[in-house]
Amino acid sequence: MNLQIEMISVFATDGSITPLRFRLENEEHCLETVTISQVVSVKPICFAGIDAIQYLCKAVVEEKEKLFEVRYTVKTHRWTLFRVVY
Amino acid sequence: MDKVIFHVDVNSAFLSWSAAYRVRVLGEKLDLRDVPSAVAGSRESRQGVILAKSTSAKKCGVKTGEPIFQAQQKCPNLIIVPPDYGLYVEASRHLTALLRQVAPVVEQYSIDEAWVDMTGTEGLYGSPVAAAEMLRQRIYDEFGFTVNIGVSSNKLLAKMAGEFEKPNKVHTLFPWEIEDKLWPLPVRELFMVGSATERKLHLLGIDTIGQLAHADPAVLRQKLHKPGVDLWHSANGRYSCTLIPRPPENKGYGNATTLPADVVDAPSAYRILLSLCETVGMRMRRDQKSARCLAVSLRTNQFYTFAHQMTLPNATDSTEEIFRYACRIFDEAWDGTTPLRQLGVHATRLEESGMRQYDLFAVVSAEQYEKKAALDNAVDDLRGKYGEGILRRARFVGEKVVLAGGLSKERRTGITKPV
Repeated sequence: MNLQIEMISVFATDGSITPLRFRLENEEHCLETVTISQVVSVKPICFAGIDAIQYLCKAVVEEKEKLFEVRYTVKTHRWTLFRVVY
Repeated sequence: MDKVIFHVDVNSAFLSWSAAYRVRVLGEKLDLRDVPSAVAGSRESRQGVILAKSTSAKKCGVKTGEPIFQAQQKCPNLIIVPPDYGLYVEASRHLTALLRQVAPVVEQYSIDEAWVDMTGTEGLYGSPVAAAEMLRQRIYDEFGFTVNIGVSSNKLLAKMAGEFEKPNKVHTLFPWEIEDKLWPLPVRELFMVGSATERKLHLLGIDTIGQLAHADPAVLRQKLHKPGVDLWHSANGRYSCTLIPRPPENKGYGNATTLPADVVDAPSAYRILLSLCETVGMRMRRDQKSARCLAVSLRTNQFYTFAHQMTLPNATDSTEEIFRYACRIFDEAWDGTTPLRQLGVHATRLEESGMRQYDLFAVVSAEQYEKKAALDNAVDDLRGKYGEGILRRARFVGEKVVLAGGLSKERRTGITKPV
């Protein structure tokens, strides 16, 4: 999957980052906004030496609950939607 | 107490890193490590050689260093991906950082290999094999690429153990296992045995490491001199070198470049030599070294390689002086007609810069020499501050390459040598 997304997030005073709401372009080239209802897990990852933070987040999309894996890449300051778990 | 040394080697490093990036970061389905694939340079600039290949590409006979077209003949469905040096540097840095976290002494041997001294860590991690398994698994979990770890009591045996069956495995080669695991291998597999030494050993009737271990050291000394005796010790698993946490000093400075098109005339060759001398001179001045011996190497379009060298009357680090001698050596070495595809300039027999015996009969006077040295330094400073393209000799007006040879900027990693 691995889509570049726009994200609104909280950068807390302790340095932690919490994603709140993201926006992506769907197949019909329309912007779709997803509001995160719960961050299930946060984990620093370093695959192939690239520092990133992995978030598993729940959100309700079209009245269905979904679990997303989004990632924040530390060096490039980019958010990506890595996959939709369910 | 016996030492415990690990040799950590990333399996087909460039390919593994590219594959791990594609699968674990980009989320691609296809894992390059599962299909015949290779990392190779660009074909247009004729530097397109195989830099790393996957296990299945290796089974087809693809070799590191061979041209792309040759590899594709052996393996028509070979997937070729370009190298990404920035990624490799990051991956290597993170790996080293992890090793330094785990062990007190780490010697980085190359971008993808390191020795780790694990002596005295049994209390922390358990037996050496358990520690190696833990480390291997941790590297895979955290970084997504595989390594082979060789476990032994010295650097040489650890390295030899690291070369056993791949990928993603831990092997031991303790002194009591040498007879079973090391001696049956062909002598070429031994660390520090290259093709030339292999040929000499074959002439002595030595084909396996075991035969070398049982050979008469006096004969080896006679035929191969001191390195022969060192090899004999190595074959018996004796190697006293300790880990060096800092890279040792250069023994020489050399740069070579493969040309986009063959060179057939002397003026073009001189221009390339000058651009190489600029690089060599700059590197020597940075480390405050002067060289007493200069060599020029040539490779023809038929891949025949030869070199010619001379001892200089004075040690020098001046670009212009190096260039003058390089041209003289080149003229002596080249027949004037054979097309050349690669040129190289190598400076050896180094001395500390700073002192110079002026020559009564020299082409440039002492005063001029001092001026030229100051100019060289000023040029180096400017290039260091504003980039290498800031100044160029009039001779290079309109040309792409000013400083030839060495690594392109993105490939200068500073991992094993200073940037």
